[in-house]
Amino acid sequence: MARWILIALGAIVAAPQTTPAPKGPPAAPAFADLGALMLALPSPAAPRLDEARAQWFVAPPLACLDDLQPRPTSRPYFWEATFKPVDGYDKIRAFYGCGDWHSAVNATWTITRILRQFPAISTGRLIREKLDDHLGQSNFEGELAYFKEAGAFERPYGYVCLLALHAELQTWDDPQAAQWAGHVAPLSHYFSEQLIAYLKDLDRPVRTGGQTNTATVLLAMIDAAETLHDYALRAAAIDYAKKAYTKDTACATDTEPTAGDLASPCLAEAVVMGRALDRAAFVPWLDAFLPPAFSSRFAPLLTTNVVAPQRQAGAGAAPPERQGGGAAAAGPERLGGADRAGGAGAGGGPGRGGRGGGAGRAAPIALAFSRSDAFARLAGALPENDPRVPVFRRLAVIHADIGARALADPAALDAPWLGAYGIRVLSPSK
Amino acid sequence: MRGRFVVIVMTLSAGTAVLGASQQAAPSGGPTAAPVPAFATLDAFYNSLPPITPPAFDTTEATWLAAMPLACLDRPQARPATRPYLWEATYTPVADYDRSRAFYGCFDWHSAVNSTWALVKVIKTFPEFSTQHLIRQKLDAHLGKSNIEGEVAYFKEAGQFELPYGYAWILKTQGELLGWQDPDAQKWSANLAPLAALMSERLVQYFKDTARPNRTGVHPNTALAMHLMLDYTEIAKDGALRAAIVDASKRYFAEDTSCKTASEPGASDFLSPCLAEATIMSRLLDRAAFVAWLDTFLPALQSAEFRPLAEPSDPDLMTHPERLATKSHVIGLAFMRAEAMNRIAAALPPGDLRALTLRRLSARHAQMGLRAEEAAGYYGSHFLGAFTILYLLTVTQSH
Repeated sequence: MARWILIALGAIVAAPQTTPAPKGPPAAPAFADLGALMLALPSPAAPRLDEARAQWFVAPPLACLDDLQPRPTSRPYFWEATFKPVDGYDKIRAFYGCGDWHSAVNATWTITRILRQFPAISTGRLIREKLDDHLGQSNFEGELAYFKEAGAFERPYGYVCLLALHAELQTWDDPQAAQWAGHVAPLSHYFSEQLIAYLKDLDRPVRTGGQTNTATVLLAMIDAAETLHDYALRAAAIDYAKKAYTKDTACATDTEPTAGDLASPCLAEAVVMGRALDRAAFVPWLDAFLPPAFSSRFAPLLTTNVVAPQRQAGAGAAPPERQGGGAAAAGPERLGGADRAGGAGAGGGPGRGGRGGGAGRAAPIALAFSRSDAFARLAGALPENDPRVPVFRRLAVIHADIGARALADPAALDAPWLGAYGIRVLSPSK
Repeated sequence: MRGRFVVIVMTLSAGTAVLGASQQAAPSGGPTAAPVPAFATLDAFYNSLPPITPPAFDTTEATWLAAMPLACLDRPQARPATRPYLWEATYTPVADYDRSRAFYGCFDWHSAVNSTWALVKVIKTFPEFSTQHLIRQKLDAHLGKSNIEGEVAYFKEAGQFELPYGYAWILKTQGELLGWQDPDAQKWSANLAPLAALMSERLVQYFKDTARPNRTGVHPNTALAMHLMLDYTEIAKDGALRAAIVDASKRYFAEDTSCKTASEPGASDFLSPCLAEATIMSRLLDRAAFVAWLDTFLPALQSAEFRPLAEPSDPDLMTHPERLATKSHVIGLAFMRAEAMNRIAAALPPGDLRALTLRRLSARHAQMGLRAEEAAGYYGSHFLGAFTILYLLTVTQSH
């Protein structure tokens, strides 16, 4: 992996600077044209989800789903708390392991998807046992009752993770899965309604590259809505995308990524517009929005650095204890960073900072996978004869390859949610 | 005080009637139209305002204002009430909280601090104050050495908690104590010094790290925090903090023009962002520079553009029992606007008609606040005593 990155970067550096390097736009092209870029890009084989990789993805979820999320550790100012798990938590909650709620959902999605795809996998019995324990009817009755009082907890990211799980269960031709899907459905319907309301109140989209990135959330909404035939949700997402993004031009690809990013904000927005606009409208929009792939502005998207140490973005921004509340409670410092969804930690949202920080190091691996997914979708949204198609396809493979290779890093095992990013790329469903 | 209260209400009704009429008379311009003056001249506007006698900061007023902080300093802040997903909490007060914490009453931390300041200010202003024995007892119990040591230990680990608003009130309190030749005050300020030093140091870094000011109308507003801590920098000769404030104010505010008065007040605002910014600039710039800056920053007082700041918000219009917290902010807004207008007036050249106008507007806002002061119950009483005093200190009787 390292070798071809060097080749690619070498090509960028060595590319003839046809114009004296200007500071502002238009930036000097890194390559003369798309053809020159294609010649310089590596051509790795597309990594695939084989049974060995499937087993690897299953292990962290199996290990974490019953490992209770850490108890809160705020230093008390006045009210000192002693904690015990909620009575009957294993009967009235479904996602209490894996560091945080959305990671538990993603871990559940991961083992569901793997068992569906590899019915004869040796861990199949263990997976079914785990799913049966967590996806019971009473578990979801408890979840729904909880979320009706939980305000913005896990909205929107955790919500769309759950919709994806529901979609996976719903379309799996398996008697047990049909049962589980029935249990999940009321919570999924509730989330769908709440997401529509959320979009109505969302003045401006979140453009950072973390969990709450609006384009990523919209795309997940559209994907799930199409599988679940939830037309109201699909329409809300598409309307929002058009309203928020139609006038955008010249995305700042040159400033990506920010440490901890899970998605490329520029690519995610382009992908969601590929779904929202018809092809005739999408192509000119994309022309104005995304800098040419051969330009130097686009260079940060040609590869993903999965080894650089990741700064813990936004750590320590939250107050140690939430007291009082109401209008008189102190202001926006309470809100933390833009990506603080459901109390998740930096970037990847693994709440398991205490375990050697490996989960934080997994964020760039997820980024590589989500970029791969985005490039593949962009290629699919363009006319077959568009010159960008082969380039985007190639970039999809390159990023998939980077992500797949990086799974060898032990840190990846600390991120039970990584399957939700990797499996779709390594094993596209259609 | 109750007797005067009635008179105030009556005068105010008259004033409101006058303004109500003028409001109808003024044509409303579209968003892009040039501002339509509500009055042709400042003179006409000034003459339309009722000459209200502002309240005085006397012992009668002070006794009542001090009762609010006295009543709340030992009323513990509410225990957290979040619904647990997995971990259910049983809460007990921190062991020895009465010896290892200082500001655990009055609804929230920063309000406990400003209530403490209010008590200090009252007995400092009125040496023969009738309830001062009680107040000194209360202050002694909260500003003890071990209490503040516990606060310091807590804040060393507390991240951004209460930064900058609560910090500013600590410095305001410490400034008050340092400038008071009183044996108790000297003891309390010695106890408070390590906490003040820690907060001053962090604020210097905070201003350095904060690229843009907070311009909202609630706690995190940067201009308000600067205003609250400025006295301390002088009394404590804290040059580093003073320099950080001056430097930040230049970066944040010096280039500002045409403040967005149209967007005031926000629904839960307790201060005017435009007036708070003008207040801190009035204290940092010399008179000539301030007047020049103000000319381009605030719209003409008689203009329709300024009307959102001139018109008091009536807390009585908020009747919903569940909106008491917001109602208390509307009351707070009246005092904060009244204080800011007097501060700005004081920085204008003597005899400037704008100063006279601002003082009249200030008195109107204050009357609205005083009339409603008790209407929000504990949601108001846990902080409004301090806000009222902030305003009363800016009243000059020779308006």
